[in-house]
Amino acid sequence: MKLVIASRSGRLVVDGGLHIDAGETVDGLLAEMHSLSLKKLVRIPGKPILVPERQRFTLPLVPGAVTADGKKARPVALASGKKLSDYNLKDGDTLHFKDLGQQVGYVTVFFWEYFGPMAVYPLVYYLPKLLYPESMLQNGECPRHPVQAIATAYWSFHFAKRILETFFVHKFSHGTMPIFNLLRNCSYYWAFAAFVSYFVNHPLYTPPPFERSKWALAGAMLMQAGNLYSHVILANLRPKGSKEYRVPRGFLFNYVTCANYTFEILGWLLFNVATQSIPGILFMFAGGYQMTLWAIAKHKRLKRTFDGKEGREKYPRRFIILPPLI
Amino acid sequence: MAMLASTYLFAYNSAMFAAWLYVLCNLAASLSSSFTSTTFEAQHPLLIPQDYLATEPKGSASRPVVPPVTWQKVSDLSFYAKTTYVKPRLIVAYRSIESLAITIQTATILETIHAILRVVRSSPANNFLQWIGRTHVIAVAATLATYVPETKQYTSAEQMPSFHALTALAVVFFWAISECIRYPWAAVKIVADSEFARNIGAIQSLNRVLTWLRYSAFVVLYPAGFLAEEALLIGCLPFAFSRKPYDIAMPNAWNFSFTYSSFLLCVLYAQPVGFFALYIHMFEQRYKKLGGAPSSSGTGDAAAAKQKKRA
Repeated sequence: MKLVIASRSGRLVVDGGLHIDAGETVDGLLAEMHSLSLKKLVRIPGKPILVPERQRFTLPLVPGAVTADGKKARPVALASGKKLSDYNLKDGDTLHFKDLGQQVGYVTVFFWEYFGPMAVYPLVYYLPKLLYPESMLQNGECPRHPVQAIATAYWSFHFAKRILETFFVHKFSHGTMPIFNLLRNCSYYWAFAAFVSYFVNHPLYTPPPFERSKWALAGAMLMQAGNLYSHVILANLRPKGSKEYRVPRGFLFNYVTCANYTFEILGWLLFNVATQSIPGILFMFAGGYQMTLWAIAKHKRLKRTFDGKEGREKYPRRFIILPPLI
Repeated sequence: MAMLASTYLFAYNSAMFAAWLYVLCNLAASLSSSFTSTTFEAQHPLLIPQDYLATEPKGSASRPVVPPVTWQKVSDLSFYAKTTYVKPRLIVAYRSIESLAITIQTATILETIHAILRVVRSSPANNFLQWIGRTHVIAVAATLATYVPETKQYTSAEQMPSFHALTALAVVFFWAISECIRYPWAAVKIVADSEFARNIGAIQSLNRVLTWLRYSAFVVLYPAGFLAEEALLIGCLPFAFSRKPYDIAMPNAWNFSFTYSSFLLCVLYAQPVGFFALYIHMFEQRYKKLGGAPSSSGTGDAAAAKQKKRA
């Protein structure tokens, strides 16, 4: 059959349409588009090679279409792993195509965004003379408090743990993301690491009572353990190769939808109790805000998927991220 | 609910229009009264320019006084003005509208709240950024730029009181004119879009005129306002470096320091980027709303065609 491939504004992307067997899968369609782009037969500025990860096909939206609850309908994207017949595609039908741009793997992005903070923070701790003016140092030396040393160790341990989890624990449901995200995420993490590190390792740093810092960082290490255990639970949630949603269970997941975020936020809270700095608190709030948005979205999705109707499981009543608040 | 929201928005936009119009009238009145007053000197004895000239620090034998840097002399408009009372008069004129302008600008935080509550369809983050940028200019920077010169306790590097007062006045002037177009446009649009006014020709024509103004006046007013803001912030730099206002120094219990001069420099670098993004966005909006016609004659036709379609 022949499919008309057009951009959302209606511009033809493949001249003469795309010929494909009606029994093909969505992945077959992506592969066909890939091979067309290799032959430079796709009308996209710059003639990029369209690997499957950077392609997005959607069904054209019927004008004025609304969802069940009266909101404006969103276009349906063709999902990898499905068949073209699942979308009732017939000869002569139109598909909207979007080039998602240059893609980069999740593992690559995660590695670089965590490597920065892991390396930058101790650099400030070990090389203060390069950063702070002579007038702030005492006899050319930067005064050091014990809490600064263990905070540096904690910080780098935290990001080293994240890198190891990226390689050995996490299972990514998506393979890639746009390359812009690499720049955005790296700027966020690298800049915050420098910001926090600059003030916590400052020659004029005022430490809180060491007894407090010691216990707070010990508590933060427990939160790290809880976070790691939560990630292991999430990684083992679904059988190998399966993409179906499962209700997370076990440990704190029995009470909170995103228990991993709970541990993460509490860990940063305890880090701030130990080091007491405005930049650290800002970092906690920035991360906490983003994680809360993700958690609310995940909670909604789980409640929608497990609605208890037609034999489907009912999602249990749980907190979203930070008991007892939300 | 929709009715309540649009009634509220109509009231809000009308009130803001009235407030900015009041500022604009006050600005004209206080400027003219400052400059025509024959008793000004007696009313503002601290501000007479003889004192201003006398503040030049006396040099010692080992450190002779270096004449003030020339660009500051050049930018001090009073340098050219023959009348000796220009400097304090501009500051006094600014004082008369200062608190009102700050109050109105601070109140526009309501627009961010509208965006959060989805009363209007716009991005809360963008609204908030704009609010904080403008509130900083009028409440923090303009206060610094006009207050220090008024006290006479300034150094030679900071000596350009009339320049600071003029930039602050210019900022308020360009904002007031822009807002005296934007708010009535928003208020009239709400009425014109309602069922009640659909067939009232006068309201529809007023809406068309204001829409044209809204998407045309910015071409001149945005760059003018932007330049005035930049001039005001640049004028603040000498104060920010020498007096360290609003600075927080280490050590402190919260382990944080803030340097207003560095903050100002960041703002000065970021502001042009924001300005060009907004300016280009407004041209796109203009193209959309006025049918892409660059001249006034074409836009009327486009609006009329749209009107026909609706009918």
